[in-house]
Amino acid sequence: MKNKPDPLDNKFRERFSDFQAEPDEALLAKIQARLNPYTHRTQTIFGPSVWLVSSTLVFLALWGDGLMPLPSHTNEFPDKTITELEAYQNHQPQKPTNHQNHHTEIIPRSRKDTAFFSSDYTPTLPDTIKIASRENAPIPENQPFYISIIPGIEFSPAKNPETILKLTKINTHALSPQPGENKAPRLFISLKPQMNYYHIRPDKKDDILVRDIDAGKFLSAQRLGWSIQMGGYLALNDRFSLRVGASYTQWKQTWQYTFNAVNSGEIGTLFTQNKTIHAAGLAADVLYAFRPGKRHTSYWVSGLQVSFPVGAPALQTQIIGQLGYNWSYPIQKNVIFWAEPTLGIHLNRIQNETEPVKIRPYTLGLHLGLSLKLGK
Amino acid sequence: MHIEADLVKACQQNDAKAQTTFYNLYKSYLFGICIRYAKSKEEAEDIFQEAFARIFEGIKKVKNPEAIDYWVKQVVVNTAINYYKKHLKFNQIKDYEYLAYQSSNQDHLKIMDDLTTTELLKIINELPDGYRVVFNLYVIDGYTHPEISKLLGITASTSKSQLSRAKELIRSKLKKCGITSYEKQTGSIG
Repeated sequence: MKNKPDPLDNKFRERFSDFQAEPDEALLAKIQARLNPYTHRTQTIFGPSVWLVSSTLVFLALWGDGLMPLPSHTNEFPDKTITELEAYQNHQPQKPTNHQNHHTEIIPRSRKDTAFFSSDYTPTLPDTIKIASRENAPIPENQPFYISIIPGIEFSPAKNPETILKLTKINTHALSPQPGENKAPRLFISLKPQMNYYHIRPDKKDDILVRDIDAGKFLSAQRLGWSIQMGGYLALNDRFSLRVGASYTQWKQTWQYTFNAVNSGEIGTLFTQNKTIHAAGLAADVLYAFRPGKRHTSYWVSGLQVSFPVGAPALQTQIIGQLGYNWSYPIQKNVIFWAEPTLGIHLNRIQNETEPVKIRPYTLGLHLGLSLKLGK
Repeated sequence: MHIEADLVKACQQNDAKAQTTFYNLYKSYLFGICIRYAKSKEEAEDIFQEAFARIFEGIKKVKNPEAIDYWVKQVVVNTAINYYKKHLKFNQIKDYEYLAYQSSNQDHLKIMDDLTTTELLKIINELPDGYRVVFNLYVIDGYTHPEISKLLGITASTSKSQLSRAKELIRSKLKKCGITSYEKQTGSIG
C-alpha cells in the first residue's frame, strides 16, 4: 500500500517503533479507581485538631494562673520552700502600722543566728528581728556586711554584737520578673532545625479508588528541614508576652504510600514523592513565664503560623498550630539566648492536584534564638 | 509468549496480582504509544488511563492470548484516536508555514540524526492534532491510508494530504532545529 518509501518515514519508524516511556507511578491507582467502586478507608490518628485543643486545655489546667503549682524551691533561696515563705507572708498584717513595721524581737542567744533558715523556723516572725550572735562569734567591727538574699529580705549592717535581720513582707510576685524587666520590647532572630512527619489519607473529593494506604504506621516518612524567623516580643504583663515574627522555611517532603485494589491485599503500587518546599510565613506566639528567674526563665509557648508555599497555588496556604517549651538565658546584659523545642501541627491538610491523597505534616523542631532587649 | 498467555488467562480470572504484573509488563511500551499520539504528558496520561481501563475490562474477551501484544496496542491506538476524534476536523485544518518549505533537499535527514528521541518526540507533539494522529498511524504504526480513513472517518485522500502536510511541517521544524543547532555551535549571528 505504501508506494514510495520515504527516508523520513524510515528514520521515524526506527526511532519510535520500540519507543517506551515511563508513566507516573500513581496512574495504576487511578486505573484501579476506574475499574472499581469508590470507597474510602481513612487512617486518622485522632483528629489532630482535637489533639491540639485537648493539649492546650491540659496545659492551661496544669499551668494556668491560679492552678499552677509553684516551684517547691527558689533558686535564690534553696533551703526554704515557697510554702514556708507564703505561710510567713500570710501571717503578716495586711496593713501594718509604722510601729508594727519596726517591731523588734530579741531572740535568745541560745538560738543560732541562722535560725531563720533552719528547719525549726515557724512563720510567726515579725518584720524585724534582732538575732543575738553566738558567743565568741566574731562580728567584724567597722566592716558592715550587707547581704541581699531575696528581694525583701536583707541582713542589715552589723556594727554591734547583735545581728539584725530585717524582714519585709514577702510577696510571691517578687519571684516573678521584676517590674519592667520583661516589659522592655525585644527583637529576636532564630534558627529552627526541624523534622517533618506526614499523615496521609485519601482525598474524599477525588474520583479515585484508594482502598487502603500503607503509610507505615500512619506516619509515612520524615525528613529534615529548617526555618529562620525574625521579629519582636511585646510584653502583655509580667507573665505573658506576645512574640510575632516573619519566617522562611524550607523542608523536603518525602512520602510513600501504597494503593490497594478492591478485594485484594496484594495488588498495588508504591508511590513515592520527593519535593523540596519553600515557604514564607507569619507567626504569632504567646509565651507564658511559668518559671521566671533572675538567671534563666522558662516559658510555655503556644501559637499559630500561617505559611505560604513559594511558587504554589494560594490554596496550599498552611495554618500551623504550635506548642513549645522555651528556656531563656541571658548571655549579655541585653542579649538573651533561648532554646525552644516545638511541636507543630498543620491544621489544614495539603494536597497537590495530581495526588489522590491529602497530607498533614507534623513538625518537631528546636528553635535556637537570640533576643535583644531594647531599652533598660 | 507462553508466560504472557498464562498471565492473560490469570487476568481474565480477575487475579489482582496478575493484573499488576500485566500492568508493569506493558506500561512503558503503551505509555510510549500514548505520548506519541498526545500533545502533552497530561493528555498522554489521560489516554493511558482510559486505555488500560479498557484493557482490563476487555481482556476477558480475548480469545487468543498469544496475540496480546497486538491487541493491547490496538486498544491504545483506538483510545488515542477516540480521544482526539471529538476535536478533529480534518477538512478544516489550516495550512501552516510548511508551504514555504518544499522538500528540495535531504538536509533534514542529516539534522534528524543529530537530534535525540526526546527532541523528535517534541516535534511530533507540536504537530496539529490531525497531522499528528495520521503521521503516527501511517509512519510509525504502519497503518495504510484506507485503514486510516476507516479509523478516522475520513477519505483516503484526506489522510494522504494530512500526512503530506505533517511531513512538510516536520521537515521545516527539523531545518529550524538544524539552524538553531548551527548557531549554537558557531555562536550568535552578528
